[in-house]
Amino acid sequence: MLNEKLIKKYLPLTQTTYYILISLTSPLHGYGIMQKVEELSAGEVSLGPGTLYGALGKLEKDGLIKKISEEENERRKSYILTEIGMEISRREFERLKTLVTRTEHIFASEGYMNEEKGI
Amino acid sequence: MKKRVFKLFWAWQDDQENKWLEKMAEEGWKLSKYNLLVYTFEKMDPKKYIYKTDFKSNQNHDLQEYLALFEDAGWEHVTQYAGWHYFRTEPGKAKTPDIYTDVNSKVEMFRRLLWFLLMPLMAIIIIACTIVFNDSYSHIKLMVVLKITYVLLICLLGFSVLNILYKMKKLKE
Repeated sequence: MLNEKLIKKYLPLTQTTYYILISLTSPLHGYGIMQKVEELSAGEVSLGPGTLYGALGKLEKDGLIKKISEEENERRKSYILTEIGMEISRREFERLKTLVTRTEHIFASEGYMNEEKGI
Repeated sequence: MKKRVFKLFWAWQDDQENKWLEKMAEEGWKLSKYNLLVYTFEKMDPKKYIYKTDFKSNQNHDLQEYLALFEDAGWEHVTQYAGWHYFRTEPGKAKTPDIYTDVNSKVEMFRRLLWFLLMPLMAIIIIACTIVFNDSYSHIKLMVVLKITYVLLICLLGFSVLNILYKMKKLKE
């Protein structure tokens, strides 16, 4: 199926793409996405407007997000996650979760986790 | 007071171009317009500005949305020319120090530019092969002028494509 092809193309997601998709579970316009991504990533990911514009264009073209525009000539267009966008984000979440669950014991038993935290 | 400066920067020299514009601002010249190698400046009090250029492509159906996004993020739109947009901000005023915050998206910008250049390059090569360098048209006077023009154009575009590819490679490293 076409969707499976698209999912394969996107997974694994980059950190930036993951945060952008996750931020769009409710409608936001460009600047709102920047703020939401910063908030979700605890300040780790700040998106420049050039980077975000390029990412939004690509995600919209591939159908992971869509514009919701009530008015055609509105300057600030809002975006929202599509079904396929949601599916891709959910699969990435599952992928990461599985990865952590399966390998957690290595770090837990060897005590690496504590060492890194300096406890 | 206005002044016009004729200066050549290639597309892959955006960093040098931005630095030069920043130096002009420190000397009290504010960019107001760019048009084919000619930079127009207006006199102002010397100021620290950060300049960045973006290649958007010439499709402008979403121009207003694009400009609003940059404006919201703290970047002032200065001028545009052939798909290139000039933005500036004051130190600390924009949300991010650059309009591109990761290497991939910057490489993607040069990829857009590459496609933009490949179209005319292909068209020129096709015209050159079918008409300009076709012997059955060689009786036409001035064909030699056309031939030279086409060779120069192909060299210029080819040179640009190679340099942009090199810039993309350097960015990825």
